[in-house]
Amino acid sequence: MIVGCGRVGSTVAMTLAREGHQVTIVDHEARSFQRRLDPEFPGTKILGNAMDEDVLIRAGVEQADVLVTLTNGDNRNIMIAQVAREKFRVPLVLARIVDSLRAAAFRELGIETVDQTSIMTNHMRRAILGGANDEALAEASVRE
Amino acid sequence: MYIIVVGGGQVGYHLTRTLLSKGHEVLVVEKDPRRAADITDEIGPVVFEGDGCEFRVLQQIGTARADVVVAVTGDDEDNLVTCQVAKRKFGVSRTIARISDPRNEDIFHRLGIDDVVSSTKVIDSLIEQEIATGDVVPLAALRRGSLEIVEASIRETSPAANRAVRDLDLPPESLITCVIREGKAVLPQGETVLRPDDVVIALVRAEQQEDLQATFRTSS
Repeated sequence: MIVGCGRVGSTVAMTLAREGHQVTIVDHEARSFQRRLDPEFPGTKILGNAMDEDVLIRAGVEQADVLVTLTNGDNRNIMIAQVAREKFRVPLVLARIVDSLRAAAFRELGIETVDQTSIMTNHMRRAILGGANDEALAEASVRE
Repeated sequence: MYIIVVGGGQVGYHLTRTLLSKGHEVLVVEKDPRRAADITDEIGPVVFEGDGCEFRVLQQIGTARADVVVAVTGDDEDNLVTCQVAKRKFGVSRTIARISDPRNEDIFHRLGIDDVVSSTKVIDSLIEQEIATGDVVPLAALRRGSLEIVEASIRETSPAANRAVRDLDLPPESLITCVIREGKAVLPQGETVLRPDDVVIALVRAEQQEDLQATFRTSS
């Protein structure tokens, strides 16, 4: 289950669907589906606000093996991730978080956070300086 | 007490004024610079301009020594994150979050927020009290959410009227804690017989509130 049909969300959804997984994508704007998804996208599209539990249930959160939340709001992703994990017991939950400090704080609370800023920074640094130690850098940017 | 109020909207503004008038040390965190300036003009230098969801902001304003953090922005998710960070990262012993969607109450409690206030729910229960005399009316949710304190007035036609407490068809997870009779509180025993015009105060698991309704309500 993918929450948020932006550039990243739609690409993750289409990639996994093409690999044969059963994929449901949730967004609160119908336009996002039209703009971002292939017309032949084989998965399910659910229109609604994922902060609303009824929308999550309608999208099948109770049967989901994985939930990835990729909306534009860090806090929204944090909340959706925790609802999925604590309330609906989804086995694997990933949340995109742009603010590295917040990502680190919630990683400590047990949420799998994808810290976009650190990942980008790493890639840039490696592209510029050649293979460096990713983890040391991620740590450094978190402590900053 | 040192109290941090996150969100300088109407609720945050009036809360800050009230707390200041009682002599507390209060800091209100507001991210909109114009709104922050307005509050400063009106009640003085008690405003920190910044995003109260951010770790760094909470660090700068001395959250670790706050007695209470209250998050009253209009966004449930922001209030959740502020309270969680205050609690887990800064060890604040009491966190209070305002919510708009009353369905979030349960999950907020589960995620460690000490108190959750839903104006939607408060107003709804006031309306219920107006229209539902004779029925079971929710008075309050206990901390951690799942239990409700409710009251029910016993009418002559209620199936519970003139029956002993032990003979009532109560849902399994409910308890009659008090009977108010002629203005006096009585602690009921099994043999206490409920009379018309009694008001019963009961504890009940939230999911069983409707079953409790059936115990008292006059079937129409």
